[in-house]
Amino acid sequence: MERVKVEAVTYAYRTKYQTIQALTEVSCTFEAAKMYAVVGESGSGKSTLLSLLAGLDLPAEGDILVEGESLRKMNRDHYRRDVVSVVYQAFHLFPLLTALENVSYPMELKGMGKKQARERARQLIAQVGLGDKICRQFPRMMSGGEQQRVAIARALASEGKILLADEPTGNLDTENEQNIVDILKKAAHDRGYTVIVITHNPEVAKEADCVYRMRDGRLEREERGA
Amino acid sequence: MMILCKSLLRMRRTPVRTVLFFLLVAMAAALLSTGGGLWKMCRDNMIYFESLFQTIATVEQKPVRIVKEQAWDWEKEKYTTYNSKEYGETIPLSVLDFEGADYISGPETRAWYAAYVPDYLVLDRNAGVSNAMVVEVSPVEDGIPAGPLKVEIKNMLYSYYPYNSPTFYFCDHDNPSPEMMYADKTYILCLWDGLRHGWRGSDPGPNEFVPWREIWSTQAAADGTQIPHTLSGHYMAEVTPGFYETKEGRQWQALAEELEMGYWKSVPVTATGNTNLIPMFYEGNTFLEQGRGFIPEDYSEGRKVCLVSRRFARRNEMKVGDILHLPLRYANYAESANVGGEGKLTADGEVYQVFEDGYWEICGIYDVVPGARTKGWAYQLDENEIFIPKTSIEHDDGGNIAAAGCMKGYTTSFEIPNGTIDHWKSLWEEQGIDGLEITFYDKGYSVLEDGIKRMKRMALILLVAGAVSAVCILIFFCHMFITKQSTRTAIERSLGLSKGQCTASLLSGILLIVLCGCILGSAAGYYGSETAAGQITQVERFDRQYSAGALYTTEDVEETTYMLVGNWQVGAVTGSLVAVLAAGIALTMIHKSLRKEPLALLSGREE
Ligand SMILES: Nc1ncnc2c1ncn2[C@@H]1O[C@H](COP(=O)(O)OP(=O)(O)OP(=O)(O)O)[C@@H](O)[C@H]1O
Ligand SMILES: [Mg+2]
Repeated sequence: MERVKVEAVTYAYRTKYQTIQALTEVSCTFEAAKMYAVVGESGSGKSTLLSLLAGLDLPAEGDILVEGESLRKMNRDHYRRDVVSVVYQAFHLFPLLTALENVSYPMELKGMGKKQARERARQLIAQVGLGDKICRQFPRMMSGGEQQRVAIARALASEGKILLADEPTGNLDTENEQNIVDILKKAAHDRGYTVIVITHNPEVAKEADCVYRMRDGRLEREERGA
Repeated sequence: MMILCKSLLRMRRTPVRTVLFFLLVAMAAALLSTGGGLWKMCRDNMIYFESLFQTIATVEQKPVRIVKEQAWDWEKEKYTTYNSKEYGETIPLSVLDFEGADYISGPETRAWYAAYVPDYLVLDRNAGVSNAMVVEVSPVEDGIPAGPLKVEIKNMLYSYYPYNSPTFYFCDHDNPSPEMMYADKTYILCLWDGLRHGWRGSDPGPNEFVPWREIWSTQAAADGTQIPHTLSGHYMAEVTPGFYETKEGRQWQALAEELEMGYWKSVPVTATGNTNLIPMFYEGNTFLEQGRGFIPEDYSEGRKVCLVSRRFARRNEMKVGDILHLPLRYANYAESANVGGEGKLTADGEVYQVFEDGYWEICGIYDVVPGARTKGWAYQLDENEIFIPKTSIEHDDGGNIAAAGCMKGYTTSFEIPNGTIDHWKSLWEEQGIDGLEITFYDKGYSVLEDGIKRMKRMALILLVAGAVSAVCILIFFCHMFITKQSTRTAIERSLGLSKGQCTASLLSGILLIVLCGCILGSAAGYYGSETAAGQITQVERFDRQYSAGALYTTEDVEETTYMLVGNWQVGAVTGSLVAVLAAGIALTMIHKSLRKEPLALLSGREE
């Protein structure tokens, strides 16, 4: 079942001095209950694609359809809150909130009771392999790997059907990496999420059901085993 | 709710920044509210003082020179010299009406009117009275009255002199060459017991009477110029058969009649456009014993109301609300009401007839402050003096002006707005009119005004400083809390917060701090301006001193004293202004930071 359809999307960053063409006519589809990997060189436009999928901006040209509906016509606030969840390359945790507060934030935002949200957040933090003592720490006191996993926990907390992760294992050791990959795979296969993972790591890419390769802002499907 | 909690949580986790913001906002609010409070206080005080203070000026024509005059004295048998002021041409009141002169009331030259009131008690029965008489006498023996000459009373035309002797002594005291008086002739004289020769301390001796009034007229036309007359000017005349058929005889009768009406049966009624123009009232030498003073409507509508002296009211058992019948006979624009002005005849040598027969209601009873000091006797009030609004006289007094002369400090004055003395003076100098002496009185208003102006300036500085610092502080901290936190906002957006929610999240915390700061600061400012008010109370005591006896303010003073405390409304206003300003600045910044899509901020490149 086709959940996300990207149709000839083009996107450019415009600064005062230059325009950087980040995506050029990217088309692809993502189905439910599958895990995708997007690979490619640094600067090829992976994160940009992910951001557009996350609804942080609209493509300059082309369109993104989610379950047949265009992002352009959707209330993107609701889309971001209820449909999609993201693990950013730079984590983007709230610096003034503790790990626990960061993770429970999306749940509280959706109206869950504070106590319940905390309870669930604790579970998620444990699930991504972090100890209980991390809960009360602020992001700036955590290691990169810890921050990354808190960010994953937060993404899982929002329970969006589309889970986007930008280098979710970049800072992790193999053991933790495998744990995260398992979590993501489970989310796709057991709970029907569409999981899209950007990665440099061939090990991670190997675990995906499907791999896309980004090259200079263009996307192509990578054949299995190649 | 959750958003607000998170916002506050964040504030709590940056305590230094938050507290600093709070304190600085409080400081700015305090500055503003102190400045505002002080400013308001100054303004209120100016208004208050404005109602309490009046600036008036009295106008007096300067004599062109002082001349030495001589008078013969039969007692010393030589001339005595005395100084006499000589005035040039009378300067009309209209010279004060020039372009740019802004009068609150006046300028006016007040007249007092002789009201013939035979039904009222004008003098105490046993008061020392003027021992004047108009009498026909014959000398007991022929003689020259160059010294006491015994004369026999033939016919008394006018007298209240309690004499019990058929004879008295007459001396033509000031006349260096008196004529022989014959025992077989009858003379008519107007005399008073000048007690000149006869005055020997406790030695009774013969009482000497000397000439007093002559047959004369000072009647003036409506424009103030003397009306020429042909009266004899005599203070003595021979009474021959048929004398009272003659012109002069009738004039002597008129003089007697006039004296009879005047001294015992008349009261002076002073008409004014504003009692404050009368120095005795202005200086607070009078106070209201009962009833009220004149109010603006009394003047503007020409209400028939009057202020009477306590003594006159007591003597006649009058109270506020009683109606007085005051037939006005003549006007006197030249002299003070307390001189009496008896014996005024018209240019035709007749008695003045009533020109205004009206009724006035007593609205207030005034009294003179015991021991009140004035500029001179002419400024004092007559003990029966009645005051009426000038506009309440319905008929023109132009045909009944018994005396007019140049402007005097006690007849002529005007009121100008407080604080405009210098302005008036400079305009007056441009008129180039010499010969008037203008004396200003402002009860120390100028001094007060200076002080208050200085304070107002201080208040303004505080206000400006407060405003500038408020703007700076708010911009800086809004920048810290909003623009500097655009990443946080972007994350919130990426988690699905709408723009509205983000705004609420950012604004709530800032506004809460600002509000707390404003409340604290304004409260501090309120006390600040109250402390500053302490300085004013000194000033206030000063003005109460001045107004203690003033006609209208005996009660008002107590009431208005507490105008001088600071008021919390100003703090509330300045506080709200700061809050509104904060909201404005914050919203502008939030709007700016939300305009961008969150992608750019989150796309992996840190700013
Ligand atoms: N905020 C931005 N402003 C301007 N240019 C940007 C911005 N973010 C990315 N770019 C540019 O857009 C292009 C694509 O960037 P993007 O972050 O999508 O690459 P990437 O494939 O995710 O790289 P990496 O593997 O290093 O994360 C790059 O050339 C990059 O320089
Ligand atoms: Mg990237």
